[in-house]
Amino acid sequence: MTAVDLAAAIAGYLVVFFVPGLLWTRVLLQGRFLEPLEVCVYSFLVGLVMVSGSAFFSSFLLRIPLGQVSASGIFALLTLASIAVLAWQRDPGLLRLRWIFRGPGES
Amino acid sequence: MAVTEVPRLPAGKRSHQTTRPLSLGRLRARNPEVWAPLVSLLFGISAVGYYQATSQFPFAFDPYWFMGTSRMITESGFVPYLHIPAPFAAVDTFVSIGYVPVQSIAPALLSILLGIDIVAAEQAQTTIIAALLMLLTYRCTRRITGSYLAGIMAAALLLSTPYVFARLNFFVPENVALCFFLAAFLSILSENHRPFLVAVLLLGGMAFHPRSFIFYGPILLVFWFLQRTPRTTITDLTKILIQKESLGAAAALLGTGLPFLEALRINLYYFLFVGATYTLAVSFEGQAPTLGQIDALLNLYVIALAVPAVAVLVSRWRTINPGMKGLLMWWTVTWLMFFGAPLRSFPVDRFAFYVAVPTAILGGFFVQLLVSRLPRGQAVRRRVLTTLVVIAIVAPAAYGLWQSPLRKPWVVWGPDERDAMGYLEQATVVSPSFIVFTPEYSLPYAYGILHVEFREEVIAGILRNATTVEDVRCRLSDTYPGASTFFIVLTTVSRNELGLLFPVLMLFEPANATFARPTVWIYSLDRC
Repeated sequence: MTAVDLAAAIAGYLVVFFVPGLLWTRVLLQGRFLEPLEVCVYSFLVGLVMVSGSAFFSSFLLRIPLGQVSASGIFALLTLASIAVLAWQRDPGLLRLRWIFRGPGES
Repeated sequence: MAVTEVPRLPAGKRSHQTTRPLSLGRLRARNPEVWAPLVSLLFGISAVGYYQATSQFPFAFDPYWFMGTSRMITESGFVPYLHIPAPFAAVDTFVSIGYVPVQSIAPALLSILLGIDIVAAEQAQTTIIAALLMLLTYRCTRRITGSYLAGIMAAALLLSTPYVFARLNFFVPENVALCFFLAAFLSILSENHRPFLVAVLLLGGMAFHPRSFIFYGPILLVFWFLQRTPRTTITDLTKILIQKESLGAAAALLGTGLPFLEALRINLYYFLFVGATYTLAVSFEGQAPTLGQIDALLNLYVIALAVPAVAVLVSRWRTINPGMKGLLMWWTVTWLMFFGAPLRSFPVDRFAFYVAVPTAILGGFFVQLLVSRLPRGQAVRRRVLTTLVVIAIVAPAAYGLWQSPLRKPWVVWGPDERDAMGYLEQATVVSPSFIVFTPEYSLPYAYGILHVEFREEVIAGILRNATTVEDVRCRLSDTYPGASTFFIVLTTVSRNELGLLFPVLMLFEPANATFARPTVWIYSLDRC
């Protein structure tokens, strides 16, 4: 275990859990504002429970082996997509990147 | 003006903290509101990351348990929920209180997706969680006191607490759960309540460590009502609930949350009606709630910081904000449990970890209090005095951490374990049917050794009633009729501490071991 390995693992954690969590958090905030650093914290934590929850759900309840990451991943993506569609129905601009840290309608 | 006194706010405004959107204009290098949390984050990642990258392995029951479960998930493809199946366990074994698998899922996922080692994945998660703990402590303190200085002091004090450092290195799910619950606290302290965000955070906390929710749940409820204002009414909540995305979020939450809620139910049942299974642990009754002198002094030092802060809080109860009132209640309850815990034979370090956060927040609050009392003279003089106050408070804590044996995790097995488990792996290959029987059940489990006996009550039952080594052999033969060989793994803990509970362990002579190292011994016994 070297510092490089650890740094790579940390980066992996951030990407895998932060990106889905960012979308989830944005939806859960329902247009309210948070400090950017708080959004980062919430995004990681929410992503952690959602991605882990999806894997847990598909592996334990649906009996899809976690080793087949694609199955768990597809389940997680479907869940994410459904919530994204719901959010987009309400505000088509909600998911634009520049509004991740802002409320809908803010320029 | 005293720091505890909250200035009057305009009508309709609930918090001193404004939650503004990101703006490049705010990211000025000299703005302490920006760099203070960044410094906290970088320091946390550097400190814990450095330790994680340079340490060989954490030596304790819990991290090995979760690494073993991660390894099992990647090898078998299934997440063990209530049972550890054979051949990973000696028999299909019910997972009792505390050992929920969620802590092991994330490292297993990362291991599969990125092709990295499970240990690296656990270490990365620990590093991130440490940084988040510091950041959340900073934000909570800042949200309550309105002072970035108090926030950064609280974050520094948190990481300077030996128990916190030790618990972080155990990879235990309480660490992650604490992050979730702190984030929920922070969300409740925010200007607008966000019911679903709070719900997800609570769910996350419950998923990682259900017993923590038993502790934090009532306090969060008190916080919720303390922060409640006429702006958030039942009608408002109903309006939020019937929105489309709310319904979608609720459905998704329910779907992913059901297994977690089941875990909570089981944990509640065991907590209330069965009791925690620490059959093998040496009783904590009568022991001081610290492990070493330096840690005792340091914890007393942190208490000494918090006590005057509480005194100020009590004396100015009517003028302080609701968040601080909630914090005071949290602090009181945690310390009551901390001092009451040894009487209930419960591991006190767990509570020390819980109590560290409110204590650190109050420590930061106390720093702010002192600094605000400094003479308001020249700016330079005031900065020098502030720096001196900060150094006077943080330096003893940092020195204590550096000297503390808890800076490194509680050493249970030592550096010989890798060789021992390598030997065990080879020995079990040639054995047709075997059982690994050891009081340190999670040690072989972490290395992927099969047929490990996890049932503490079974292990304790065999060891408690046996009077000789031969007796142990015969009792093992009776318990496992299908097994031909029994591998018994003993360590320094088995001899020095568990030997007090089970004297037969002292009768295993090192000279008779088939594998012997200064800290680990393995015995191979045939059927009786």
